[in-house]
Amino acid sequence: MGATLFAMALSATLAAQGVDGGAVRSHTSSAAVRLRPMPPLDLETLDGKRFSSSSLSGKVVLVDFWATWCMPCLQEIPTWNHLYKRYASKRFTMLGVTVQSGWASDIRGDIKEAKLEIDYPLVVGNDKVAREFGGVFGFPTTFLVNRSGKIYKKYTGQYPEKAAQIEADIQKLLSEQ
Amino acid sequence: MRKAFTATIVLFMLSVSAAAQAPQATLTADQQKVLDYLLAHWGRDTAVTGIDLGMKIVGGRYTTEDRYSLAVYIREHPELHRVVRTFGWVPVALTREEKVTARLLSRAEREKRSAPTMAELSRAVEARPAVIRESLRMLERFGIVRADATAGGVGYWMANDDYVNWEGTNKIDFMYHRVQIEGQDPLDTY
Repeated sequence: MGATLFAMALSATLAAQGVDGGAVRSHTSSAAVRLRPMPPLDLETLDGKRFSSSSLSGKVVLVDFWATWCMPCLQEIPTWNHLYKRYASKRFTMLGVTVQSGWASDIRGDIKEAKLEIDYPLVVGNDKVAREFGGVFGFPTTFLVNRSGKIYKKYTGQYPEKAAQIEADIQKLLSEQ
Repeated sequence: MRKAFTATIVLFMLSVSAAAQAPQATLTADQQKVLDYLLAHWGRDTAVTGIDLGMKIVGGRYTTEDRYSLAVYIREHPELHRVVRTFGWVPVALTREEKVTARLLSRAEREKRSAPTMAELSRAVEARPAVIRESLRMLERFGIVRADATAGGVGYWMANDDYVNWEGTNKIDFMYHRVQIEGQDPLDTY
């Protein structure tokens, strides 16, 4: 209950931030910045296999930290499905990092019970991964990673223009060589 | 030789640490009653009821030692319940005073300030210094804080980086609220 309210409160805090070696930078700046690399991932998939971030190499990746009890997170799933399908043929992929939602079997049960249709890959996250991404202070928190494996931007919460903002950023990163 | 000696010392320290926090293989019959209550009620109406409240509801003469034993048992058995797998053992193990005390220490360390003084903690936690001292003792026993003379204030810092970066979506910010639905037992929720 409170956690959901917290997530919703975060939704009101509109935030899209670039990440520069731990410091936050404004994305309106044209100055060159040094982006932080995405941490290497070795996580369990929902069907018990291992997922390695090496499979993301060379792709623009949208990484969504979500929890099965987080309503704003669930509301975003159709958007992520749409982006995943729309740009899948253009070296883009999506990864849902499921945190604070129990074991893989628990998450599978929640997805089945809520009849969620999630097209993109999901892994079981943990506090360590959230910390290595630079901190996740509410759900949903979404990161966009460029083709070089660097974290380009962090989007905190759920807000009306988030999807359009992310899609524009995806297009920008895909257009870069 | 030196490496071997160092390794031995490290292994010894690890074994001492492990022994200090060794899980109890079994619970007493009275402790089991509390666990049974929690397992039957966790998840209902978003309940994440803490051990301390469970002990009060079940009744009888429960002590801090019972809470510690139950907490260690729950920590070692996440298969017991979804609530533990989702939120971890800490929210159900700690009392309100311990959670707030840990949160204040964590924030001070993360912001590179001195640890709060006893008077500051007492005021912020709204508890007598004796309660704060007991909270610090239990937090240290759980391996969440450690005595550190360089910390200033009460002289404690978080035991490791996980706890320094605890706030946010990590567990320490889940300051569970105690509520009661008419005609039912009180419960802790998030």
